[in-house]
Amino acid sequence: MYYCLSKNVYLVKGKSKDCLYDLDNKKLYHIQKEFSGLIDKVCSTDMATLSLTEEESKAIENLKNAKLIGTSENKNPFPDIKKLTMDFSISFVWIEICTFCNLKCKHCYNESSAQCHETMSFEDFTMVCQKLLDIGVKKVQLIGGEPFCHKNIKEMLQYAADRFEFVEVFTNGILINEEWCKFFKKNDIHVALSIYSYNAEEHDKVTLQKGSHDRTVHAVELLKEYDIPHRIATVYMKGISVGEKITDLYTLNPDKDVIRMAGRGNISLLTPELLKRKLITKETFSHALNPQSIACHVSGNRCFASRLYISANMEIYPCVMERRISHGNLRDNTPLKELIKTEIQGFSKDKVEGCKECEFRYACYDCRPDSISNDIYAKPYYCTYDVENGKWLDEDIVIDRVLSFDMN
Amino acid sequence: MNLELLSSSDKFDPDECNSECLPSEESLNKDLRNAKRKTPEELNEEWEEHCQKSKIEAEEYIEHIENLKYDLIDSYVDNDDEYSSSEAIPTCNPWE
Repeated sequence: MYYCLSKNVYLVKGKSKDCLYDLDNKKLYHIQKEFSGLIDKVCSTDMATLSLTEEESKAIENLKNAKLIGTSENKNPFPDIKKLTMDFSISFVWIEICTFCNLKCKHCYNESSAQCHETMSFEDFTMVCQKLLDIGVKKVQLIGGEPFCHKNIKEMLQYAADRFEFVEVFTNGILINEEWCKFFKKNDIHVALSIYSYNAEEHDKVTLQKGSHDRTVHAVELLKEYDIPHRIATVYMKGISVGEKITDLYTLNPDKDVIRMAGRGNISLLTPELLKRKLITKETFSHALNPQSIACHVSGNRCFASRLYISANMEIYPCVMERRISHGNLRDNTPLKELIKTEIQGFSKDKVEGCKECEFRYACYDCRPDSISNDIYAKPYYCTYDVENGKWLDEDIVIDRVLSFDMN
Repeated sequence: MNLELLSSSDKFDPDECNSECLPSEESLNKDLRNAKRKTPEELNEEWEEHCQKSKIEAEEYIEHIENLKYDLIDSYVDNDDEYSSSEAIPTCNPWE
């Protein structure tokens, strides 16, 4: 008889420590190398000849109590977590129809403004839609710039609504009026808007247009009146106070997005408190392990695996905020299915310097585009784990180090 | 030899990415449309006529957008700590 790891328990080795991933019980354990050496020993030695110290026996007892090991008649090699795989299929696509915008938000992921002139023609838009439909995409979002500044926005929305199951338009709402609401209602179009504060002046400090808050809030009023499905997105950044909730019209989610280092987003828009919310810490792993997420992280990048971003010039990126890598260009006559690079979809932490030898690499999520490096393979700047020494770094030290970083 | 349990909670991380630009899985799944779809042939026929008409309308609209761009460029302030006046907010709209 031999000891063996229980079903769906995986040993993931790191540089200085290891982890046990128990997918059935959704638990993650951090162990020293000495402990994984013991597991290796008891699983490869016949129990009849196994000799253990008192400390080792106690450790094995702990593993048994946690249902991490069982027994088997035969010697079994450790199961390989890399065998957990997921099929890649694109389920959601952002389509950037123009880069022009009637606002100039401080943090815009796309650096949009009135000086931006990239525009997707209606003919190109129909071609994009057809190619997405060919690979089975059912959900799209039209984004800009400000989509409602595109001359063909009405036709584009109509065209998309006739073909996709879910169509959302991301807008600042400035140009939304009753006619548009009737149009959304008729075509079952969803709307997403950004509001940065309950206080108009604070919101306008982000958009750099006085009066923009009033216009956006008016759009929300209309969307409510016409019962259009809509959501309010918020990004938190330095110097902008969310303020007191003084309206029943909308709620700003306090747990939502903290400014990311994409486009005009940069370190100067982060405060220590905001950065703290991003940090990968020991606490990050207190959530139950999600077997689906683990399989996704083993197979590739959770976002890149299932999403695409088509820019106004028809370039195909893996995410709305990621421009360092591209699948190619839709003007290429190659079918989209052949353009999509499996190495981008399969961009797991095994490829990331500083993560590939980390025992948490399949339990850890990081937003690749949220990076202060031009290197797509760089370790997340907000990670507090020292892989070399197997220790969690002091959060304040990491925060100081990041905030003193000069992105230029 | 310490077996350190990290995942003490029974709950999953609800939304790892949590991006402003991404609709939540909940809203994506909840609102999938059930309406009966037209066939691709029906849609293509309908759109051939519609596209011709919209091309003409769009040419007129682009002129308006071009003018709007110049208005806006003039209205931006160099100092990001300040912001411009409400008059600069455009009212471009295909319906008007």
